[in-house]
Amino acid sequence: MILSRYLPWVWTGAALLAAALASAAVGAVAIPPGVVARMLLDRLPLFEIKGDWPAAFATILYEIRLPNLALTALTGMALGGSGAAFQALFRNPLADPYVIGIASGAGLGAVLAMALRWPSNLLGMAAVPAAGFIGALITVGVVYRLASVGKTTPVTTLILAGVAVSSFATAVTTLILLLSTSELHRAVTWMVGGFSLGGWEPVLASLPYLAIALGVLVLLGRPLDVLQFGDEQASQLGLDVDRLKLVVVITASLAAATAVAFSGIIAFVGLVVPHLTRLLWGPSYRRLVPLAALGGASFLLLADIVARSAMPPRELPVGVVTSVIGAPFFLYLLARAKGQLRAW
Amino acid sequence: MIELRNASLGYSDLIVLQDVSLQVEPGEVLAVVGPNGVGKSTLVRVASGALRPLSGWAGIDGRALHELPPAQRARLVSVVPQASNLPPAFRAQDVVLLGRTPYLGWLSSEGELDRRAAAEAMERTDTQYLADRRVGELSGGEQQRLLIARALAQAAPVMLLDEPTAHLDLRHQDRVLKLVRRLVAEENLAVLLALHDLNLVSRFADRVALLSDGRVRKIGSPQEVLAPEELADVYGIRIHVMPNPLDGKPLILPGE
Repeated sequence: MILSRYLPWVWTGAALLAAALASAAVGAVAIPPGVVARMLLDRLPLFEIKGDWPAAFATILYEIRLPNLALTALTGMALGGSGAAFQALFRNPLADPYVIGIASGAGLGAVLAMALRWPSNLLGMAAVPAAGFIGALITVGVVYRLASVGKTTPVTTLILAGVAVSSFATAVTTLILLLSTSELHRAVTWMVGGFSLGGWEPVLASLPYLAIALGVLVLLGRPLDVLQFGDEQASQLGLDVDRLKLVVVITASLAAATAVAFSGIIAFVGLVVPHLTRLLWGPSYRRLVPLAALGGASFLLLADIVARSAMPPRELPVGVVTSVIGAPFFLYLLARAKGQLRAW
Repeated sequence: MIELRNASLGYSDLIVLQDVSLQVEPGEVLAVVGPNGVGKSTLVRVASGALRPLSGWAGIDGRALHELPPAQRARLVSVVPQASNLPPAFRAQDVVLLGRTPYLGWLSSEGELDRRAAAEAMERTDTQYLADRRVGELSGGEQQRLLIARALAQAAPVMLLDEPTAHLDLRHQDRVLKLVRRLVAEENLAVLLALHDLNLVSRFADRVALLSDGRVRKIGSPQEVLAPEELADVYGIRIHVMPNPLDGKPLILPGE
C-alpha cells in the first residue's frame, strides 16, 4: 500500500532522469550517457572521479547541452502542468494551452514585446514572458466567453473558439513579423518551437515565473478535484468556485505564457501528457498536476532528442515533432469523445 | 433551521415559483412534491444557496444564505444531488473525503479527523465496502448512497436531497429513504427532500409541500396534503386515496 503510493513518483522520476541523460548525450558530438553521469557526479563535492574524458566535452556539456536541457525540461513542465490545470478548469480532456488558443495569444504578446526591441539582457528577457502572459490572459478570457454555453463549456464550442481566436492571433503575429525588419527573423524559428536562444540566461529568466505558477497549481490539487463535480456541487461542498477559477486561469496562463515566451509555440504537450498521466496514475489532480509537469519534461526532452537527431545535420523545431505525435492523438481523443464525452 | 419567507425563485428572465414560505425543523423530513418542471429542483438550489432568491428571504438560523461564504454555508447545509455526471474514475472513498471541503483551506489536505469522519459516514450509509471502487463502476443505488455519505461527512445540520430515488428500483428506493429516515432520527437532521413518488412521500415524510402553478399550494401532514381533490387538481387526472392497510398512511392510486 505504502509502496504503491510512491510508485508513480519513482517511475516518473526515473523516466525524467533517463530522458535527461539521453538528452545530454545526444548531439553532433555524442557523449556516452555513462560519461555524462560521471562528469556530473564529479561536480558534486563528495565524489572524486578520474576525468578521462576530452576537455571539449566539458564545454559542450556545461555551455550547450545542459542549458538547452534545462530550458527544454522547464518548458515541458510548464506545458504539462498548465495542460493538466486547463483540463481541470474546463472539465474537458481536450483542453490544452495550444488547442484553446492560449499559446497563440501568448505568442502574439511575446512577438509584440520583441518588436519593441527590449535589450537582450536578463531584464529584457523577463519582459517578453510578461507580455506573453498578458496576451494569454486576454485570449483565455475571450475563448472562455465564446465557448460557454450557459454554465458549461462543451468540447465543440471550446475547440471552435480556440481555433478561431488562435488563427486570429497567429495572423496578427505573422503580420508583425512580415512588417518588421530582419531582427525578428529568428522569431520565425521560435514560433514553431525551436529552442534557439541558448545559454543560461533564458533558464534563469523563466525560473521565477514557472516556480510561482507551477508551485501554486501543484498546491491547488484538492480544490481542483472538488471542481470536477461541477460548479454547483463544488460550491455546495463549500468551495469558492469563482475565486478558484480566477487563480487557476492566471497561474496556468502564466506557466503557458512563459513556456511560449522562451521556447515558442509547442503544441499538444499539454494535451498528450496529462492524458497519459491520467490513464497511468488516476484522475486526482493532487497527483496529476505534479506528475504531468514531470512527465511533460520527459516528453519534451525526448521530442527534442528526436528533433535534433532525425535529419542530421539539420535540427527540426521541436514543435514539429510534438505536433506529429500530438495531432493524431488529439484526433483519436476527439473521435472517442463523440461516443462518450466524459470518458475520463 | 432553514427557512424561505415570501421568496420568489427563478432566473433573471423566468420566475419559477412565487411567494414561497416554508421552513424545516431539526428532526423532520419535509417532502417537496409536484408535477414535472414545477420547480422542485429550483427550490433545492435556492435552499442550498447556489441560487439567490429573486426577492424575499432564504436563510438559515436567521442569516441569509447568499451572505454566507461558501465554506461556512456548506458547514450548515449539505446537498445530495441527483447521481449523474460524477467523474467516473474517482474512487468512492475519495468522493466521500471531498465532503470535508468546508473544513479545509485550499492548501490544506485531510487530517486524521477528516479521514475518520469520512470512514464513519461510509459505515453509516453502508458504503464502506465500495471504498476502493471507481464511481463509474457503481450502480445507481450505490452512487446515491455514496453521495449521501459525502453529505454526511459534511456534518451539516440541514440536508437537501434532490430526487434521491430517481432511476432506482423498488428495493433501492426503499433502502435509500430508510437510510435518510434513520439519519434524521440519529442526527436530528433537518431534511428537505424533492420527490416524485407520492406513495414514498406518504411513507417517509413528516410534512409535505405541494407545488403547483408556480406556487406552494399546500403544506401540511401527508394526510392533509395528499387528498384526492387536491391531487386531481394538480396532476390533472383522477386520483384515489385510501388508507394503506399496512400503516394507515395515505395510499395514492391514480386511475378511473
